[in-house]
Amino acid sequence: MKALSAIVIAAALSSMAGGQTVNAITSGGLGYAVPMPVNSLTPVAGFRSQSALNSRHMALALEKDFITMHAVGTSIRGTNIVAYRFATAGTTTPDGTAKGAAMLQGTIHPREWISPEVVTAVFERLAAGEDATARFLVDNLEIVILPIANPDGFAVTQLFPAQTVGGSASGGGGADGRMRRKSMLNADDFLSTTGDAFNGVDLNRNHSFGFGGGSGSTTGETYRGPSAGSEPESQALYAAAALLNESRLRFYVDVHSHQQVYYSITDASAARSAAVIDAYGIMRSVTIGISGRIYGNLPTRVETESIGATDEYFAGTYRAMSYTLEARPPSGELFNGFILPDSQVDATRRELEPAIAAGLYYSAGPASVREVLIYDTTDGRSESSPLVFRQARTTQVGGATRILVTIANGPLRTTRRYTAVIRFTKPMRERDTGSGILRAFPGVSTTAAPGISLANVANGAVPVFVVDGGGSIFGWDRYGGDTAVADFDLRQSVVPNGVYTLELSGTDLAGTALDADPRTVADWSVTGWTGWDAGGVDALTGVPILNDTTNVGDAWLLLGSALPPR
Amino acid sequence: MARPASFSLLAIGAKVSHAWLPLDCDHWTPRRLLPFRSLLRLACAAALLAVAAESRAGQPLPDSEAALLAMVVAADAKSGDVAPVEELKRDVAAKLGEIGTAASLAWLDAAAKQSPTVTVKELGCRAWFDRAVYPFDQEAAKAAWHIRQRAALDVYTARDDLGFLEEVAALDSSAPEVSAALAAIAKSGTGTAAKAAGDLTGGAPNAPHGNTRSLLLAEAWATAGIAPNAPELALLSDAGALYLLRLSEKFPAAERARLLAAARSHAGIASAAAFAEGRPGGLAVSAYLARDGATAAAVLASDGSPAMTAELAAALGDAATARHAALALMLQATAEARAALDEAASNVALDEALRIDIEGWLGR
Repeated sequence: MKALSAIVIAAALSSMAGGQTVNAITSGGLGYAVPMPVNSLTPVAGFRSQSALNSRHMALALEKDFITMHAVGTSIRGTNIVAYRFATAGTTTPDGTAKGAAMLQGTIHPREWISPEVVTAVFERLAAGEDATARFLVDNLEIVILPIANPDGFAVTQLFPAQTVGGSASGGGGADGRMRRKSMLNADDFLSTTGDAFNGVDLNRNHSFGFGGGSGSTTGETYRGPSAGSEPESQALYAAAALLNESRLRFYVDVHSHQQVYYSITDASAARSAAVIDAYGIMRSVTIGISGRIYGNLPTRVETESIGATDEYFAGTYRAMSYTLEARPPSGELFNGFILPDSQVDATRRELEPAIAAGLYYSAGPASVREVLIYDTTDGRSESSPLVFRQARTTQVGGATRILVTIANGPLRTTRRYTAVIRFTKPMRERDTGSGILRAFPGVSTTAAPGISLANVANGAVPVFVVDGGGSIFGWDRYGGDTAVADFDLRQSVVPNGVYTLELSGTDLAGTALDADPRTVADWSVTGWTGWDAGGVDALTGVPILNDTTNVGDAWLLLGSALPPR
Repeated sequence: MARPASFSLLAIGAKVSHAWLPLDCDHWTPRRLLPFRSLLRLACAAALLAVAAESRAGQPLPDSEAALLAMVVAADAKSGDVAPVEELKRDVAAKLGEIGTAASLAWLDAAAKQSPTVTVKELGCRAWFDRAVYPFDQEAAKAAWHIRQRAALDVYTARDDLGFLEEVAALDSSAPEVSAALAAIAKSGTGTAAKAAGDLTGGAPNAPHGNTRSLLLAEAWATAGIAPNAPELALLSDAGALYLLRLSEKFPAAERARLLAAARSHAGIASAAAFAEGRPGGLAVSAYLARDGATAAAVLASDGSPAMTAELAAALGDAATARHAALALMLQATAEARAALDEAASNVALDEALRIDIEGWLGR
């Protein structure tokens, strides 16, 4: 049996070896122009060169104080592997809670040129900080981006953008040159030396949690390496993660191509796995909202289905929400899905960068009400409108709990009109640049306005999120869209004196409901979210109301101690 | 084709294995099947041989379009083994792409809408997926595109002018007629191309151009050898502007210089144009860094000579250029550059934030 096996294998390998020549990848084979890297710091209608991408990353890091660059290791050839840490100063968010941590990684498989473009698009948006979500993310998370995890392999693909060893004129089935997948271990830059074309380690099979899932053959396309984490590029990846507060790492995306799908890494914790799928659903929706493309989901159990990939490493080691994101196209759309046409590069960036940003936003935890302010606006809104009532949620030292601090300068009166200003911990809406309307993230369906009601008190309040006019007492506070404002009129009410519950509800940019009880700060743990109270209605605020028409007078204020104790 | 009986058996095995085994199974084996890896290897090897044996690769096809069409129509009508039929359809489609005429389009368009059924497991990025062994659908789509492109080019080049461009400008940029029009422009004379460029911009001179019009304009300008000015160039789509930049070598030197200068005003290619322009002759390193910032750093870094390193190290001493000089040294990444950065990291006269970044880059 063994002998027969050997003969057949030898025959088969011999037939394969016959194809190991240096072949041209042609526009005829692909059906479109062969993409060539472009030297440009800024995005172009195609792929940027490796040196241009490096320049772009470093230039932005040098320009922005909240981005720091870190040589986290060197490749098998001694090339610097550089990671970038995005974070404002301090370990706590503006709200006083401990920052979460997240990581993005690209170009572990060099032939997947769309990977660094997508990762760089996120990099550029965060660096620009021109929109509320980007500023929120940098303020509230520590984010490490490792844009080019396999610099040696990437260099070879760019050195030979239209050549490969073996394979067809579309590059399909080829190795080395433009089609190199692995590291450059025991491989040189010369395509003519085809003997080493299949050498190298698949750096996405070199990790614990499923190590062994890749090939054991040094020339195998998925050669896993001699041991888990054996490769210097893998060590650099771990060093990049160590730039973060690793105990708080909760989100990881490794961008690849192609198949138009997310591999979402689940585990035995149902709650954690549910959050993994929730975040996938948000990212998927955003892409559908932008381009209509549907990215599928392939959940993979880390305990039983791992193959030594980085997403499994981050899920297994840190219990982070962890994904391999495979960009377009789906299988069968092109002759060679690894070589995306230039014409699809920008569209892919545009459909995936906001999706990843939405995933990061979700990973920062649920929105909660940070402050409620009620102004007397009977005489109209003005910067000098009297503040009647304020309740703020103050984070305690340690960041796990908040107390609710209430200041009532007087009761609300049934003869007056008021404006409630509700400040949230996150931007809740953004303005669609095309239509100008306020909305959640593209593709995320949610109610247009938050809910605000004084139980049993008719008042006609119609809250509106504010994305313009920051700096005003009726404008947004930290980020555009983090505030809702509602005018209401107690003259419609006939109610007895008392303290009335103010119920607040709403969904954030990702369509996620409010944390109903922000006294326990929601946080990520190895088993998923903790302290995230369901229901979505924050009913912690008690508002004193004086019925002027009964002429009880301000002596009622003595009842102020009757405010809810919580 | 007659083939050994043993291969027929193997072919059956191949069909079974196609359904669930990657041909290159040494690279991937389900963990639960690891104890049977030897058997799997044997099955894979058998599948490989069977596929090879079944292949009709190398067999000549008729040269006549009618005969080719008759072959595939007859093959489609037969019931039985689908693999040889799909292989034949793929090969015929490829050949029709070279020699076919409008007569083939009906069959090619229909074939392009069909789905191949003979598949093989191929390694994607992370997982194996089904790939068509004989992707006749894609080959047919490509062939139909080429036939239409050739037909359009014949029509366009038979004309004395480029008056058809306005009609083409309304098409999607991937249409074969657009490719043909670009080729026709390139074959036209400079005067004809210049007139075409004027015509293409004439309708709405200040409105941004669509992608196809942008491509046509770029080709017309390049063929005419006349660079657009900045306001004209700014109206091109990003893809059209990049296409023009890629054609910049076709322009006479003075016009190319004008083109690159104008391209700096187009957001989609401003940086690429600065790269393409490079360091102007006679411009000092420090002046170039001050003018073009990170782009200058990247361009200068491509010169890894010790002399350049020394100049960049000197530029570290000037606050106006220090950041980009440091960037250039990082990109150079030579031992000399590292030494210069190492020295800069301990130079308290340098901006602290810059020193922190340098230290980070040095891995401290």
